[in-house]
Amino acid sequence: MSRVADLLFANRVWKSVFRHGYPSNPRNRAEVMFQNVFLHIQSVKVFKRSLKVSATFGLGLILAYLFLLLTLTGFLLMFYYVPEVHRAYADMKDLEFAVSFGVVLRNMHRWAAHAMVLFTFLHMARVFFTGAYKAPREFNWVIGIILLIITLFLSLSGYLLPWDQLAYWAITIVSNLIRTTPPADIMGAGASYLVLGGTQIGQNTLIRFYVMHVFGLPAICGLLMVVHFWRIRKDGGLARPDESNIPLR
Amino acid sequence: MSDHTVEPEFSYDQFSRRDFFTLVGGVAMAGTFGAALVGSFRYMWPNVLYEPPKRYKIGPPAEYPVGVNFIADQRIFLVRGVYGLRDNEYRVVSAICTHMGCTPKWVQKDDRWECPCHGSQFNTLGVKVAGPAPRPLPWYEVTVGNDGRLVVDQNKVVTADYKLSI
Repeated sequence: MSRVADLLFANRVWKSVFRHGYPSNPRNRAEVMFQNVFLHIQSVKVFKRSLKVSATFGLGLILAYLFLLLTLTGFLLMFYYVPEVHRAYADMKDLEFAVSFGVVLRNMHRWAAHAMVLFTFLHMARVFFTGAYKAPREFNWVIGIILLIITLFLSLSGYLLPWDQLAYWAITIVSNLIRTTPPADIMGAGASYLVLGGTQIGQNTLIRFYVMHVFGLPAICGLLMVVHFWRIRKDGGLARPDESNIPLR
Repeated sequence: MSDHTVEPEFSYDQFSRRDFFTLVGGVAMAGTFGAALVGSFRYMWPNVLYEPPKRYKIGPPAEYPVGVNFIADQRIFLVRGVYGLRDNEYRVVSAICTHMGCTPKWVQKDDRWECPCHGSQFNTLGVKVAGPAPRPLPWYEVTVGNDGRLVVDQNKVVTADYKLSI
């Protein structure tokens, strides 16, 4: 058995990838966290209280997983959906009725998107009620607010893509809202022209919303998520009551 | 001689060659990225639109009988010879409800437009008399083109007392 293990692990290739030994002692367990880019998002040690489910209900983590799920399902949906006014609705219908597992992917994307808005509000409520927005975490709250706005923009831009009546009138209402930006004759009209890519909702609008939905907004969102997570670590992990009373684990 | 390990306080007298090039480099960089940013915004502003024109020709005036004529292609009503107009006078009103964009229907017996979607009603001046519409129906400038056909310009919104006399 140990010969098999030696064959697998005691060679140059394995050691070039994993520089630490098997995590059977505290030092190696720490090394695992330090030396792995995916695991080092977690700290080596956490407060005992932070391990309780009721500390956060995992709402932020759920949001991160929803974002990952939306990225993966969105990536797959892009292979069949073409953002062209004569095709978009038919492509959406094809995904539901003609493409194998298309209906599963579309609905995963759709429900995860709804869930992301919902969990954003729940996450914010948790942060608020546990006072986790207080110093030194004030700026992370601000980043969270920007992430909320981006989530809503992602939700809105995705809503247009099926190019059905719901989509059309939702964007009509939003463009009318934008048009009221004061002074309405200059800023409002200009902003609406920029967002719609013209004076009415059409092909330019669809491609603009599509590009923002599949690249622009997710890119900004991903970048801010990195900063958001990094700051949780730098601010000492999850917020907790008087830390001097709670032992490290 | 001063102590070389101490950074001298900034003053314009001691504005060194290095400070100068730092400033030039900074300004050049800010200018480059600034121009790229402005250019990117300008790029997002389309110069050519493939939308239906806002100024277009309809038929010659004689084609339309006295009364309220619905012109489906352009979604407008051409009003001729009624409600304060003589038989040689014309005006044009939008057939797009200001609430949600449905097409109001002209109801001759009640002298008003009625929107089928949410029940907005507009009187002969285009002013809302019932329903959720937030604004009156806009009236558009109508003129006669070189070839004798009527020209409607939706870029030019006029008051309800505007009329074209021929």
